[in-house]
Parts: sequence; structure tokens; C-alpha cells
Amino acid sequence: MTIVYDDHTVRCSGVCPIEEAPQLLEWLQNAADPLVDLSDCTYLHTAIVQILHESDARLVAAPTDPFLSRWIVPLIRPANAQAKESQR
Amino acid sequence: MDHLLKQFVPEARDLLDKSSEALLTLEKNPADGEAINRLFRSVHTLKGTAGIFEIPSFTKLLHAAEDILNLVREDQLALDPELVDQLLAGIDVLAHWVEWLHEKGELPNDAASVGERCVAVYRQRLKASAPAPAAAAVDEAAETGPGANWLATLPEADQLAAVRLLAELGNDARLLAIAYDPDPQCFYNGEDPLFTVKQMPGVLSVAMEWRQDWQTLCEGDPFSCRVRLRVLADASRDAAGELFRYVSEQVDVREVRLAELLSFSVTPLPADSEAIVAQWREDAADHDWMALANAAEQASDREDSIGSSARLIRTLLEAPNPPIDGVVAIIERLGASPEAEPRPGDSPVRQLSEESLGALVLQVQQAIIATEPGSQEWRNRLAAVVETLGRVVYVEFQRDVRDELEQAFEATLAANAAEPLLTALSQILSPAPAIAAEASVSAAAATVDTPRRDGEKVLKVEQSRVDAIMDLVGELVVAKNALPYLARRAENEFGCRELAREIKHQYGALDRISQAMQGAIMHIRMMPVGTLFQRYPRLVRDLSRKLGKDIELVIEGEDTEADKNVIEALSDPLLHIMRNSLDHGIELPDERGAAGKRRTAQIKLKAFQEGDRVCIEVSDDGRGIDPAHIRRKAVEKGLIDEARAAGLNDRESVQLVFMAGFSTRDEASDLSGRGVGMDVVRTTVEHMGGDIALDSEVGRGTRILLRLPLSMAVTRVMMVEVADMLIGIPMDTVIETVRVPKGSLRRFKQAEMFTLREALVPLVRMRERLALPRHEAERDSEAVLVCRLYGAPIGLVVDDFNVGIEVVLKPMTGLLAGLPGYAGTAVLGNGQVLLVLNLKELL
Amino acid sequence: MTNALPTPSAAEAGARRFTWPGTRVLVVDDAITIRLFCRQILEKAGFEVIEAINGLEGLEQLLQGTIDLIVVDVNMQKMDGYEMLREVRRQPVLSAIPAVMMSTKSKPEDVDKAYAAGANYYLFKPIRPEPFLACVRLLTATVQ
Repeated sequence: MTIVYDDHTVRCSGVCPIEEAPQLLEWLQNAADPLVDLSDCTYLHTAIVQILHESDARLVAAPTDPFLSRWIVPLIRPANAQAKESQR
Repeated sequence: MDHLLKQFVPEARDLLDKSSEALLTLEKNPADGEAINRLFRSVHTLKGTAGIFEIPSFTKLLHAAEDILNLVREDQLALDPELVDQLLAGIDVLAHWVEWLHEKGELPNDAASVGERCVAVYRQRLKASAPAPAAAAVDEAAETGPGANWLATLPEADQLAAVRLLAELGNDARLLAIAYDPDPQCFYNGEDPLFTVKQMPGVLSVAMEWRQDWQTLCEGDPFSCRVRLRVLADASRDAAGELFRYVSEQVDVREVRLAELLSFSVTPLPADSEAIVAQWREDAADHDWMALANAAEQASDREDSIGSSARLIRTLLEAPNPPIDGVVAIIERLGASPEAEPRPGDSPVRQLSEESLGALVLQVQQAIIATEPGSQEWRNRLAAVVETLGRVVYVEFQRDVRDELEQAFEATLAANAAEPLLTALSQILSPAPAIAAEASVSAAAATVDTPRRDGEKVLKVEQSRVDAIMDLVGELVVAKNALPYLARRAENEFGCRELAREIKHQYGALDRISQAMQGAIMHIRMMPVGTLFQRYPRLVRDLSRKLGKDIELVIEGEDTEADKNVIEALSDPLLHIMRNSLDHGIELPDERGAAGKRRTAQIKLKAFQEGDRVCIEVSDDGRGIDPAHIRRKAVEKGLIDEARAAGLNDRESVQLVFMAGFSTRDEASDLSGRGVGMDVVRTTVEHMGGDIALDSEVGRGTRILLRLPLSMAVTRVMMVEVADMLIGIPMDTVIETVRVPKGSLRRFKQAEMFTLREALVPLVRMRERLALPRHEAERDSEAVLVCRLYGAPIGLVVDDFNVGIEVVLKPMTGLLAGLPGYAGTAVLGNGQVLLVLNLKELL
Repeated sequence: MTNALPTPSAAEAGARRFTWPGTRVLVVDDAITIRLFCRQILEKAGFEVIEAINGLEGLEQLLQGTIDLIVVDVNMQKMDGYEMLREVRRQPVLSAIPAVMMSTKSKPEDVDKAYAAGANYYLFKPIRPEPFLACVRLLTATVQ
């Protein structure tokens, strides 16, 4: 498992492949004010990036991988952002 | 061959020559608007003409090239060396095809595939530089053609990083801007667009855009790809091509230069911007980058567009060689100086296009001439105006008009009115360019070319027709030469002295006319050596690129004329000499720098006429030939022995390169090797009746001088009799005829000689040399024809002297073709065939 | 054929090249940065550059040796560009030397004033390397 879910936080570690996408999407749609932890993450599949970007998830722990932190992190809502009121 | 095709071939050759010439001019000076127009016109004309024939590959290739040139002409595509290479390659292919059309009347079998390859290369360039679709299609562009508009929305940090890199890399640096619009279904093919992008080397920016139609692409479908990727990278096109090879149709790769990265949109300027920008502009005007960097630093914390401009300027100025154009462009974007009101007409305005610089300067001078005519200031200004006009007209139209201008200048001063100069100027400018462009001589067609005044017609004729006339004149000369025989017979056999005199008289008249005709036709056959020199700029360019050398080719005297045959025969030797010079003579730039020489080497190709000879001199300022090295090599190769080598001075030593079997380089180089040495060059030149001389100085350079007869058509020969045969000796080698009494002959070992005015002249017995039977009886005196060979006299022992005569020399053909020692044959008036010797080969 | 090796000289006939080594350009500007800029560009292109910091010094340089082209700023201490050019045009030995004036002033009347003073071309500051070089090359073309 490269993605671990608890009540509020989804924790991605290592390389997150497209196979994780349906479960992640489902979890994000049901979680209230979801948080994302990418601190152990080294790479996210395009599909995962899409889902994180389109969701309400806020980033609580940034990745160390330079590619992710430079180009992907800006696509995810920062931790200090207001939680969205509702899903579109 | 089809009649039309026959006309097409020389025209196509001509247009292709013009194209490559214009292309090379353009590469040196991309701002040369006249050259791009010339190039475009040639290609366009050729395309039009080619359209008549069933040669689709030919037309397609031209079409693709024309599309490229169109972009270059509109400044949408930069003519970089790579593109020049690609275009030259295309021209080569076309030239090759033209020769096929000429020989076989059709294109080679592989034409379609070869053509496709070229077209694909051009299409690639075209695609890479396609501008954003025209205004009407802007909305659509968001969906279909991504263009490079996204560069304007680059995050500032990325923009600065890219700008910094480009500024450091220098003038011609480019980055790749890649727009990758993955197929929505691409995940099903196992593609991961982001992963592909991550593999890209030198990534400077990755941005994602969301497809506008993503909601209709099934909202929330985790398996539909809804992003578009925008990547800026410092990578090669090849690297991108390789990486995106499976999705090439979804990717748009283009090269961007600094200017394009600076074309951000300026948000409304803050109120205090005017003073700041004015300060910047002033600093830039003074090229005071230190001050500008300070000023920019002060504004660099601002959040508005002044701030982002300041950060850009600061970044640019941090480069070791700040790109001035970029800095100026940023400042100008922030609002042109309020004073800068473009005015139509006489004044040059800020955005003058460089292509018209010459025309503009001419216009300005015209305006100056017309300003306050008659005043003292006006009179004072004229001299510089005339000088300027002379220089600019010379560059723009390659014409020296100083005399015309000088006269008009005097007249203007005398009349104290502008008209004479203005009139002269408009006369100079009006008819010039078109005629000059049309008048160049094609390689295949001789041009009837009397000194050209404005409006004089030029007639292009196939060479074969001129040759036919030449042959007829040759026969006329032969027929004419029959008359003296006839006169002799009239006198000796029929005893009619009266008739004999009459015939001789008629002979004199015919002789004059035929000589005049010969002269006239010879003149038609004369071609400027420029037609030969045309190919060398290309050669020098290609080879110097290949060899990593920096070489400037200077061509002089290309108007010097010589017979077409001479020029054609010179082609190979000259090519070899040039290659030698490029390959061995010229040092690498670093080596030159270390030797304290200019890094750019110079090769000079110079033609001039010297009496009845045309001289071609090839000189370079390279490393020269080391005589000690040459001596050593010659000994090593067994060409001479140690003792002789030791006895040679430096000047004599370098001449050893002309010996057969000599090659100065240890490893035969790719360029000048191939076993053809200077000995072959010398032989070829001497076969044409010319000679070759070589000078070299170590470290300073080498100079080779070829001297050839202006024309090879008519040769004066001295006829001699040897064992009942008539033999011709070229008159230019003959010094005198002497009869030497038997007692005056000296013999040293095998060699015979005699004393002529206190000089010893070696003798050669022609009967022996030509393997003819010896004299049966000993003779009281010998007939000796003294000739000059390699600067020294030599005596040819013959049976008897005959007369000097002009002959049309025909090369040896058929079985005799390979026979050394003969320059050719000629038919005499009585129908007898005369063998003409080539002494250098024979002895 | 002599043993002396050829050196390119302005005296040789019929050259296709227009710029000769040793073509001398006088740059008159009070800003050292501009003079350096011009020197850098022109020397790299094979020109010889002579500098002067005002019109007076420019005239002195002109009288000292052969100059093929004058490049002159407008505003300078002691003697400005207009005055200098008017003086150059008044002197018979100097009057035929073409001149380029450069300035930030870009109003039509500024340009006309430069031409009236004796300039043959006008460049707007900031000067960009390529157009500048093209202009100098064109105006120093040598007819041999």
C-alpha cells in the first residue's frame, strides 16, 4: 500500500500509481476537510495529481522530492487555505 | 530531350546557384533583406517553372522550402546555421535532380523517398515555428493549437530562471517550449504524461492547464486525463523528439529565444512608473549597466509590473554579457518614450527594419540634398552626402558610381541648386538592380555580353551553339591555310606567278577576317572566373564548420575573364588547392590565437589578367609549409636522396610537394587526401599550357599562383620535320632556331650539348625520343630548335624547320587519348594531320 | 612571383568584402560606457576605434589622422555634437567624412536638426549592437 488513509489524512508514500486513483477519489469525496501528507512521497501519477488538485484536500506535509515540491505542490491547496464549504 | 526541358535545365541550374549564393550571404548577414528576397524569388521562380513538368517530388520540395523561406522573410523563423544546412542540403538534392533531368530526362528512382525526407525536415521546422493561429482562431487555439502563448503566463520564478539561463548562454541560445496535450484516454494506454515530462532533461518550468472540457469528460472519472502540460526546458530537440516519440502528435515543440520569454503582458502601470522608467531609459541610453542595475535593484521589491520588470532587468544584467536587446525590449515595453512619434517619410524612426537600412540611408541623403538648397550650410554638407552615397550604392548595388556622383556634385555646386545631384541619384538608383540580377552567367549557358549599359539586352545561348561556330571558324582557318599550298603549286607546278600572287593576296584578306572572327567568338566564350569562384564560399563554409576552423574567404577579381574551357579545366585543380589550404594550411582558432594571429584565418582567391594569361592566386595566412619537414618526407619516401635534400634551399624544398607520390600529411585526411596530390594539380595545369608556382613561409602562410592561357582554342605552333613527319611545337616554348655545325657538338658521357652564346644547351635528338629510325648518313650540321623548358633552354635536334602556323588544337581522342607527350592534333590545310608535342611531358 | 607573402591591404582591387582592416571610426561621447560599448562591438568586427569625450577633442582627433566615419553624441560639455558636425562640414579637409549622430532625442525636429548640422544618419539610443554594427559597416564601405 502506498496510500494510507485514516480519519482525516491521506498519507502517500513512495511512488503512487494510477491503481490508487479510484480508492483515493472515493475517500476524498466522503471525507470532511481532508488533509494530504506527501512527506514520504517520491512520485505521483498524473491521475493522482488530478484528483488531489480537483479535491478539497489541503497539503499538511510537503514532499522532499524536488520535482514534486517545485511543480506539483503549487497545484494542491495549501494547509492554511479555508476548507471548502461543499463539493461542487 | 524535350524542348522545354532543355530550356529548363540551364535556368534551374542558374536559379539554384543564385539560391545558394543568396543563402550564404544571408547567413553572414541575416539582416540582408535584398538577399532574402533574392533567395525567395529564385525558389519561387524555380517552383513555377518546374510546375510545367511532371516532376512532383521536385515541386513538392520547392514548395516546402518556399514555406520555410516565407517565415524567414517575415521574421517568424530565424535562419540559424542548422536551417542553412538543411536548406543547402535541399538545394543539393535539387541540383542533383536537375542533372538527372539533363542526362536522362527524368528524376532518379529514389526521388520520391529522398524528397519526402527533405520535406519532412522542413515541415518539422515549419511546425515548430508555426505562429499562434491568426486572430480569428484565438478561441479555437486554446483547444487545438497551443502555440506558445502560455509562455506569457509562466510563473515568475520560472521565467527568471529561464531568462537567467538564456542570458548566460548568449545571443543565439534557445530553450524548448513544449506543449503536451495528452489524449484524454491516454491512461488506458499506460501513459503517464507527468512521468514522461519528468524524464525531460534540463526542465525549467512545468505548468499544468486544465482542459476546458474536462467536466464533459465525465466529471470525477479517475481514468480520464484532464490536464495539459506546458514545459520549458534547456534540452535539444532530439532529446524531446526521443522522449515524446510515441505521442508526437500530441506534442508541440518549439524553440524560444530570450525575446519571446520577455514578451509578458504589461498590466496597467502604476502612477509613479513614468519617472522610474525614464531613469531606466536614460541609463540604458548611456549603456550604463551599473547604474541601471542599481536602479532596478531599488524597484525589485515592488509587486506591480515595474517590480517584475525590475527583477527581469536585474537578472539580465547579472549575466556576464548582458543581452542589451533584451534589456532595451523590457524598457520599451513599459511605454515608448513619449517623444517617439513615428513620422512617415524622410526620418528614420525607432523600429526601422534593418533590411532597408541601405535604402533608408539613401533616402536620408536625398532629403539632406533637398534641405535649404543654396545655403552655405547646405554646400558644406554635400561632400559627406556624396561620399555616403558612393559607399552605400557600392554596397547595395555593387556599383562604383563615384565618378557620376562627383560630376553631379560639381554641377550642383556650380548651379547652387540641388537638381543635378538629385537627378544623378535617381538615375543611379532606378534601373540598376533588376539588370544586374538578370545578367549573371549561368554555368551552362555562355552569355553574349557586350559591355552593358542600361537597357542593353543580354542574350543567353547554349554553349553547344557557340562551340559549333567555333568549330566552323576552326575549319575556316584550316581551309584558309590551304591557300599558301595552292599558291606554291600555282607557281611551281603551273608556273603562274601572277595567279600565285593573287592567291597570296586573297589569303592575306581571308587571314585577317578569320582572325577577327576568331577573336569575336573567343570573346563570346569568355566567362568571368566568378562563375568558378561561386562555389567556394559554400565549400569554405562547409569545410570550416566541419573542421572547426574560423575562415574568411576573400574573393577578388571575379570579373576577370577567360575561355570557358580554361575555366572549366581549372575547377578541379583549384578545388584541390582550396581543400589543401583549408585542411592543412589553416590552423585551428586556438592554435592561431596562441601564435598571436587573428583567430579568423583568411583565404584569398584572386584572379587577374597578365598579358595573354589569366592568373589565379590562392593564398592563405595559415601555418605555411615547413621546408625541413618536406625535405625529410621526400627522403623518407625515397623521392630524393639525403645529399640532394641537404643541397636544397627552403624555397626549392617546398617545391618538392609537386613531385609525384608526395603527401605531406602522415595520415591521409578525409578532405584533401584521397591520393590526389599537388603533382596531379601541376600536371593538369601544365596540360592546359599553364604553369604553377608556390611560395610559402612558415607561420605566415602559403601562396599558389596558377597561370593559364586566356584561351585554349587557337595555338601557334612551330612546325618541324622529323623523319618525314611534320611535328608541331607550341610556339610559346620556342626561343630560336639554329643550325649547329657537327664540330660544335659536345658530349659528356651520355649527354650531348652545344654552346649557345656561352651557355651550354643540352640536346635531345627527336628521332630517338620519338622512337623513329636514326639518320642513315651522318650530317654536317644539325637543325636545333632551342626551346625553353622549366626556365632553362633545351635544344631539340630535328631534321629540318618548317613554318610557324596557327592551328585549332584538338585533344587526342580514341586510342591516342592516354598517350603522354602530345598536346593534341591539328588538321593542316592540305589535310595532313599534325601532331603537336607537349614538351614538359615528353622530356 | 615574389617571395613576399600577401597581406590584405586596402589597395587591392575588386574585393568583394567592403570592410577593410584598419577602417577607423571616431566615437565621440561623454559617457565612457557608450565609448566602451562602441569599442567592444567595432573592434570585434575588425574596426579601429578612436575615442573622444567631447566635440573639441573629436575635432582634434579628426585633424590628427584619417578617419573613415564619425559617430557622435548630441549633448556634451565644451562642444556638443551639432557644433562639432557643423565645424567638420566647414573644414574642406574633413567635410567629406560621413557622420552618424546618436541620441535619445527622437522627435522629428531633433532628427532634422542633426541632418541640418551635417549628420548623414541618426541612431536612437539605447543603441543596439546589431543595427549599430550594420550601420557602421554600411557607411564605411570602401570602394576600391
